[in-house]
Amino acid sequence: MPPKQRTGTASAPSTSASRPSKSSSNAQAQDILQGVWNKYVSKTPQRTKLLDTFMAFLVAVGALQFLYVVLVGNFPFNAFLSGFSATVGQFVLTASLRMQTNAENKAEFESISHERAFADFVFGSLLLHFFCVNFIN
Amino acid sequence: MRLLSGFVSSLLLSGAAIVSAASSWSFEDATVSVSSKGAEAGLKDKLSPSTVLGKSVSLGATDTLKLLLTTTDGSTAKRPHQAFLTLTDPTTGLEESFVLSVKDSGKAKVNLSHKDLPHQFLTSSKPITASIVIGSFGSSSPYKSKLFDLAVNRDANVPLTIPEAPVRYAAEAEIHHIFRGDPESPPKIITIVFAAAVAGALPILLGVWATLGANTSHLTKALGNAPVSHALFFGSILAMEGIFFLYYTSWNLFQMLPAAAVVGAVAFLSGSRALSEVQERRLAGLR
Repeated sequence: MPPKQRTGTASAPSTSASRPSKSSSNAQAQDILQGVWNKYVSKTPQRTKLLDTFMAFLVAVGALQFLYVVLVGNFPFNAFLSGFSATVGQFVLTASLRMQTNAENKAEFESISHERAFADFVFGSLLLHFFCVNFIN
Repeated sequence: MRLLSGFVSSLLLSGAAIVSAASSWSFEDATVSVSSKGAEAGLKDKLSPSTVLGKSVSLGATDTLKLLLTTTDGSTAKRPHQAFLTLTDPTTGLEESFVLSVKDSGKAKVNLSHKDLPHQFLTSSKPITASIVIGSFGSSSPYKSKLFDLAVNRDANVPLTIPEAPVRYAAEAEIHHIFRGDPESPPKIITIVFAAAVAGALPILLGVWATLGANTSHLTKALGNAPVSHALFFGSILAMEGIFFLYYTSWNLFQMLPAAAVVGAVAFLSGSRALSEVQERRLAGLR
């Protein structure tokens, strides 16, 4: 996702510049990650963080479904496909909403207001839910 | 007149007699002999067209049977179109014919040994009937008659090479196929565990949202500004999900689509109103 990456690369040089004495690369990697996380928590708008937690929730639910299939097989295959594609599709829709409502992307989405993006998100989600319920049958 | 008719009738009679004396194929000077490998020719037996040879001719494993004769049509020695030595198994009726090589003078011969015989003859219990068959074009009647019995002597210790049975096309043996069983659902306890895990992720999400400050403070202001549209918008989304649930449980597609169309229209109209209210507050910096 472009906004998050930009935030990440912006923070990396500042973190390593502040601690030049650490020699082990492992500690440096840990510091970089810590810096990325701190920057994320402080700089990301609250509504974007709400969307991010929702996406993490979807990833967890999708992983649970996949683990279940790996464990016991995919007997009603359409049920697995329906549930898994529901989480994946919802993740994609949320990601696109996040992209459109991110303040740093304003130049690319000038014609689409945040509310319009949210309305598209709701419409897409309802369609996705309909097709998934239909496919479970 | 009577003399003339008598003369004509006697002519006709003699003509008929000449015509009825039609020739038939036969043979003369026929001999059959069995000779062992390396040894001198064995005893020769004379064969007659009209009588069967009194004794049976025995053929050993290394012996060669030699048949010599002169084919005759009536009283003249001639070469027929076909001349065979036919061996017939009396019990099974199995026949095998061996072509006599005949010269134009009528002299015919054929050689026979164990390797020429079908393996069924080698294991036959009774002697095999040998007959001569002579036939040709023309009006001469053919000749087919038994001449002698052939006893095949086989060394019982020598293994017999029986050729493979040829492929005969017939119904194969019935196939009893056991079909793979139907797929079964996994044990319920695993399903329940995973379903509980998925269901448990939802309160975690709501909790994290709450810690992030889920904007519930905006609710009163939003409802104050545009209560109807917000309530209708949220209610229509919930109603849509409810329609999907009913579609999953009891409704069919044609019951569900009109309801979805109505709720969708409500959602669209109320949503545009509600979201424009939200946009006002966002542009005013209150969100």
